[in-house]
Amino acid sequence: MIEVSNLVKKYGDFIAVQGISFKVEKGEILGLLGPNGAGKSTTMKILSAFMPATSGTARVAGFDVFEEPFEVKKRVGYLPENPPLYIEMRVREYLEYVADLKHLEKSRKKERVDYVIDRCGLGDNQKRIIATMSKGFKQRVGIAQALVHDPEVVILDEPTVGLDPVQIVEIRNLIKGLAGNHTVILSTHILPEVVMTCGKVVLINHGKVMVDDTVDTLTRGDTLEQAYLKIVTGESLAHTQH
Amino acid sequence: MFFKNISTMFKREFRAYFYTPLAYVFIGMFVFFMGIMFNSFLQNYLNYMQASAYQMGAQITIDRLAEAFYANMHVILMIMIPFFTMRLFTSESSQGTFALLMTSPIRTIELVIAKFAGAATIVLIMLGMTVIFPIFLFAFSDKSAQSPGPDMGIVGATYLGLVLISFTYVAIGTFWSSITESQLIALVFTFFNIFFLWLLSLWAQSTSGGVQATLQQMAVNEQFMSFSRGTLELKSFVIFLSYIIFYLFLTNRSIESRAWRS
Ligand SMILES: Nc1ncnc2c1ncn2[C@@H]1O[C@H](COP(=O)(O)OP(=O)(O)OP(=O)(O)O)[C@@H](O)[C@H]1O
Ligand SMILES: [Mg+2]
Repeated sequence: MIEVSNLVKKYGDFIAVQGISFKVEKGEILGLLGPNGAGKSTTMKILSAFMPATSGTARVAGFDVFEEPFEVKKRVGYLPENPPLYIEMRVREYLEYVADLKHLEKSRKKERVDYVIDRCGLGDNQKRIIATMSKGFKQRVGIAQALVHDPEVVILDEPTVGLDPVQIVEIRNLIKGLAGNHTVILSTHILPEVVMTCGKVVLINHGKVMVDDTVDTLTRGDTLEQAYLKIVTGESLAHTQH
Repeated sequence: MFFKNISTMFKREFRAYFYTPLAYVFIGMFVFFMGIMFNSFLQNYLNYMQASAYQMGAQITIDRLAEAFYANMHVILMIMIPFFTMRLFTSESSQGTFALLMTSPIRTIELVIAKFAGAATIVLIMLGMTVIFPIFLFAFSDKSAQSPGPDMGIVGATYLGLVLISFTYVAIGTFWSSITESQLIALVFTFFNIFFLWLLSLWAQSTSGGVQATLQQMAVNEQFMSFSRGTLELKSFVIFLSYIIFYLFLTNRSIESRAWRS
């Protein structure tokens, strides 16, 4: 469903992504991990056809993001680091607009908008002007817009940032519920979140893939946190911390 | 899909003007200014009528006065349109909604046309409201030799000219809003660009021959003035349309390249 091979992204002279490759099968949830500046957001921007790569290829939902970005865009729901909200609009109005932009059939529009409003805990706020909402609520609207058109592939850049504990649990359940029918890539710094929601992990550092494995394998001996620290900072530090 | 995408985005663009009171205030101000000008126009007209009753063969005609009235309207549009276009693309960058648009199955040209059409529609509404003035004049003149009323053919040509020149300014503003993330910079550059086109006609006066003719063709206010004297020329249409297409084309290029740079 998602196939990345030798992807490179340069910003001027700086190489943010240095030839990464990985695969995500249909119905899987992949956690994209890595320290700040590792290249997670950059990779997700390329996969959602927002930005072209410098070299390498990526196929999403059966189409090459560079050759046929239009087809990819129809099939992907994307939540960037900053939720892309028209803050003067009302929540429901905004989600209906996104549904139209993504070519969701008219007959399914009401049902889908109702569904994401319900699942993202926006029911009481659907008539509110987005500008007047708190950060966490804005984040929920951001998640809702990524899902409203029922996309085959969902790309979420730090989806649970700013949410309250109850909502975090609900959004995790929502994401888990996407497995099977949808293919999901999410990035996060919260490792327990990965254990709870993802089947697979790709850990990148300095734009390179360090680990590409299932969560089960990674957490066999260590906790995911220990495994992460070992890879990112080296064995010694991992030992001093535990 | 082309028109469906455009209409989806156009509707949002248009509504966006009315989320804040700004558009109401601006449109209100425009009509208010034009009302004041119309009042002074009527004053001049009545003075002229009285004067011409005493001394035959006065030079001014109602159509001349109307031409001056619409020249003033043009100046006010020149000043106001940059305010309507400055937020078109700048707000997409500052709110991060550019990411939504660029990851949706739409083409940049559809986006550009929708933005242009949104601002252009606001300008059409403003112009539409001023149609009351010539209708009023026409209705209250007795169509006699002393008080002939305005030539509605010329008025029609003038409005066509106003629409075309306004759309040209909207296209210019759309372009400048696409190259910066700052509304202020977009505003200032749009002003400069419009001012520059206006300077061309001044510049033309100090030249002669082929250079002068070319400059006059390029100066959009010269084209507008020929409309407001009742001259409809295919050439003028072509010049306005070329400007509009040229700036929208540049906007499209700038949006495309922005996606590459981000
Ligand atoms: N537009 C840009 N121009 C130049 N450099 C950039 C740009 N965007 C990102 N970078 C650089 O590319 C690298 C990867 O950035 P990216 O945003 O992909 O990291 P990330 O893994 O998402 O980090 P974080 O966990 O902080 O979100 C960083 O070093 C960053 O400074
Ligand atoms: Mg990031």
